[in-house]
Amino acid sequence: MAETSECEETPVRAGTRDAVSSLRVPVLGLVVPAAVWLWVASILALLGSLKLVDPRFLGTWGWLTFGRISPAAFLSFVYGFGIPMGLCAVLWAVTKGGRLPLPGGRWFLASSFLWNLGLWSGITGVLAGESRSLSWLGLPTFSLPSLGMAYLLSAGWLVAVLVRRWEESSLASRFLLLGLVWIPWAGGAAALWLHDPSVRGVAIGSLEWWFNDGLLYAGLGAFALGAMHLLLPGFLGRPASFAGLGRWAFWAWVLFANLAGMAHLVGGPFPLWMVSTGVSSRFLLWAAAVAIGLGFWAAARGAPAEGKQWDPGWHFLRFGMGSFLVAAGLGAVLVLPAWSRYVHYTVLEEAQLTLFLYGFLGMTFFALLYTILPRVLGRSWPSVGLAKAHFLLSSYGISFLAGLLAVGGLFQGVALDNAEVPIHEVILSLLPFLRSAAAPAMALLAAHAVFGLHLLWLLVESGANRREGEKAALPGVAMEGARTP
Amino acid sequence: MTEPKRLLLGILLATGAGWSLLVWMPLTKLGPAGPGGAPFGRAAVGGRIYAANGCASCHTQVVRPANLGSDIARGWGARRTTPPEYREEHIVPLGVLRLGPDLANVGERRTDVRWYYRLLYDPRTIFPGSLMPSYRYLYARVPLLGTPLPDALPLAGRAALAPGFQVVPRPEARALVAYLLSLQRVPPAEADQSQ
Repeated sequence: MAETSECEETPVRAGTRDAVSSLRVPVLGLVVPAAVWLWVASILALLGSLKLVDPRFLGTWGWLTFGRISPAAFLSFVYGFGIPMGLCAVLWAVTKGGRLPLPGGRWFLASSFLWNLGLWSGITGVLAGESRSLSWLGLPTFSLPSLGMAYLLSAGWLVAVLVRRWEESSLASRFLLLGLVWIPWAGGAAALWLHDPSVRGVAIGSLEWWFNDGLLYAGLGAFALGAMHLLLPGFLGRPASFAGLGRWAFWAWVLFANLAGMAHLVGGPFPLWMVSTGVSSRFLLWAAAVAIGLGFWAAARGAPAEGKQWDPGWHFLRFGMGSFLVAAGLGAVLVLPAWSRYVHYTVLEEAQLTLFLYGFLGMTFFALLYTILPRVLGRSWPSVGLAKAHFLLSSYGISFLAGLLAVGGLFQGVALDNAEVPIHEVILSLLPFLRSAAAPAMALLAAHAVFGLHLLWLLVESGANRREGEKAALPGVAMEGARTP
Repeated sequence: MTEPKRLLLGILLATGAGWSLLVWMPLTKLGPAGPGGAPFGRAAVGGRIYAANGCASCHTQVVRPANLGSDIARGWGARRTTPPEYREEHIVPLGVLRLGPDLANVGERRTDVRWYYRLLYDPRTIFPGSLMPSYRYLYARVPLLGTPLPDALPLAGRAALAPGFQVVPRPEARALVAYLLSLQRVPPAEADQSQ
């Protein structure tokens, strides 16, 4: 709190070399492996997509069967890219955008090493057939100690620094704190519970879905919303509008993200009150999302028109917020019993997940990277053309992928509801959509390849810069909760 | 209390509320384990193979009530599935997608072991154009010494082997089929009695 008051009274200096250099190693320790995991996830997802085109493709190897590479792809994205990017946003927040030094940077390197060690062993385990088929809890047991220790090492430290440098009015800090503490509390409890022999039957199903939606909304979603609030002043010169509404939305998010998972179990072997709680919570999460979206768009509308320079961060952030609102709305509407009858267990639900994971989380985290890496490395992104190519390939890839799955899911749902149509024919009618989805999946892989090359180029150039002894400081970026000089 | 502390407490309470309502309470309602205990033997091993190969990525094990879909009309179960049918299981693959039929009751619908062996080896011989992957890695190609083994697959056409060889299921395939045959969550007789 002492540092909070200092921050309010005395504007901190922008981009001091010591502060920025204390951030460089931890940020790169998170970003570089995350970029590799993004590649791994994209390649696995593309392989899964190609297997839907021809199931015999690479069919002789058990470790490349669809049922293993499909969970391995989203686990790589969630744990390899999503969570490290969330921690990156927190690092940016606690150092007030590179203005304050980060104590204990070496802890993050140790944490990053342990995290990636655990994740490599976990994903290898999933491909080798060691998974328990628990979707988001699907990493094998032997990978959990390393992942747990890694997260506690960095998150424990970050919570302490975030609280010490707390900004009273910051919505970003609230959401980032939620993401930071929800993951170890819920993940630790779920992991321990799953290894208790007395936990069995449908309790495992409700545990699985409580955790899945919790991680999506209260973990990764909170990180991305925190990143959005953190970046907005840098792009618009002002924070999100309607701060009071934003605080209300935050508390709604905290509560209902923990209750929304049961919405997936409509029609399942669970009491009605549990399912109803899930469905209502999805609607209230949507209401919170609309409140957050209102604050975002009101701030964006009042901002000055975009300058001559094409800003990749702002484009990614805007696409991310659009996807967020659509995905939250779909998440609520699709679980209504009248709709669920047709669309539950169809690829329309996959479209909603794709929009949330790749459209909202992925694009928001890219906005974060396009904003912070030039400041951390002291060098602008080398090519506007590559950034544009990344944005266009990503946005078209995600839009077409979600669109094809959504339309295909509607056809699948209507056909599934007609008992006269054999299930085999239902799936055959879905094939054109699934096969067409391989093209946007390739576009996404190409987008991530472009980003990877661009990142590599930036790293090489910034290394050359440092050797030449060039000054690293770029102009400071405005951010929520920190006064700019 | 400072704002961060209030926030931490609020997050803890909200997470705890979700946990208590949706995880702890269902477990207490299930009651103690039954005298039979958890499934064991070949079917239990097969359950782990089912999970390891991600079968739940395409198949559910949930029969929904008649007002929420055509599951009962399709013959996937005589009534909706209820919690006691999963009571002693430690792997509960309820599923996320239906790119194939529901399997909650598949052991009741299909009882021919050889049909399952053929399906897993090459699904397209039974369902042309099927999306289901082949699980050939669960089978072994062994020399044919005299009479074919009882479980040897009758392969013809493009899948036919060179003379002197046969394909037989490995223990993993046998366990998986035993598990599928054990999936009889809502037998029709029981459903009739309950009506």
